[in-house]
Amino acid sequence: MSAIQPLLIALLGGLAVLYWTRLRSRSLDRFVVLVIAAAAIVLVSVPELSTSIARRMGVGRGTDLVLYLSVIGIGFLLVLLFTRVRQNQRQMVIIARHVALREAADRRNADSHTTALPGATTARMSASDALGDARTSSGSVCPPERSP
Amino acid sequence: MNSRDVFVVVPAYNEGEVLRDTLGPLIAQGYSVVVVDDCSTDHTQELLAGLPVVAIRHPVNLGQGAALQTGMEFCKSVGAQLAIHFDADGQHDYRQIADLVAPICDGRADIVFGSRFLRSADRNEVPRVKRVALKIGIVVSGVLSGVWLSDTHNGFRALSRKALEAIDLREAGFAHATEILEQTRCARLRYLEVATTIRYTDYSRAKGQRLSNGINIVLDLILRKLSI
Repeated sequence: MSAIQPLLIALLGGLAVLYWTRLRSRSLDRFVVLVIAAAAIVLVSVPELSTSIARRMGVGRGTDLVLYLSVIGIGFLLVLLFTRVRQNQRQMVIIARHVALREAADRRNADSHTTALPGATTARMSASDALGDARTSSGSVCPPERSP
Repeated sequence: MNSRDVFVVVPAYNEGEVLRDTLGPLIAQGYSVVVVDDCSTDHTQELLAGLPVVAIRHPVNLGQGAALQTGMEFCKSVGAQLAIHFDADGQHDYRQIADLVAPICDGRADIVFGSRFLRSADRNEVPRVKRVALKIGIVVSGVLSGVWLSDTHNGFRALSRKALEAIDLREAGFAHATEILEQTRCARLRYLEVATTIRYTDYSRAKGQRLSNGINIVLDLILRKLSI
């Protein structure tokens, strides 16, 4: 056994244990990770195995086969991660928007007691005041004359 | 038309320097101004507190598309029948809002896009590099959305109530310009382009989109097509 083998096996084992204990993922994911880690440990301990599989698939060396497969695997992982990031971003947008709109509504309610007419530039416009118009005249927003 | 019934949505991110000049005429015209402050780090927030506008502030920076959508959500919630998208940096002319709104009021369109490429006088105002970048944007947007406009990345738009209901921008960044076209097509909204001017100032030039950002936008759009 060469020096690299125990090192790799230890790292692979550590990775599997980390995943198993730290990430609360679905049991299917856990199973897949476990199988992959086990397969990797087997390949590290018996390097000839990967070479014979590689030969049968038309690839020269076992390490090459492992490299090809792992590059593709990492590609998949990246896409998955990216999907998750975008999903998270969308959720954050929804939450942030909700917070922003609610805060604005609260402020308007607080202001509505102390507001002068919306036209006055010094006073903050009570939005509910100004917006009341739109609500009541919703049917006639676009009458024939249209000069502001 | 009562100008109060026109809701002007202004997404603002660190535009404190020019925001007052942009909002002033809109307020004077009596429009219902809705400013969505996208978590600016300058004095935008304080400035807005002293103005008769509806100020909505994102708790974190989300991007222009998200800010527009927040503004539109607000408009919908108060029963708005007409909304305008208006850039905060002062590049649009408030006097052209009437032109943009007219086709909706006449019942000819559900959504109206401003374009700086319809009149040669407006077109010549556009700096050359910018013109090339915009043309590329037009082609990319056209291919991806299926709606071919003369000026896809113009932030000056008018939306009817029907369009407000149909548009739901999920692209938080600048890819929303293409997304809005896509949704226009999917919802079968009637759309029109109206000639508008763009005022290029040193300020807007410095603040404007960098070319490298265009690549990010395209990437966003491709990912979107793959529904990732």
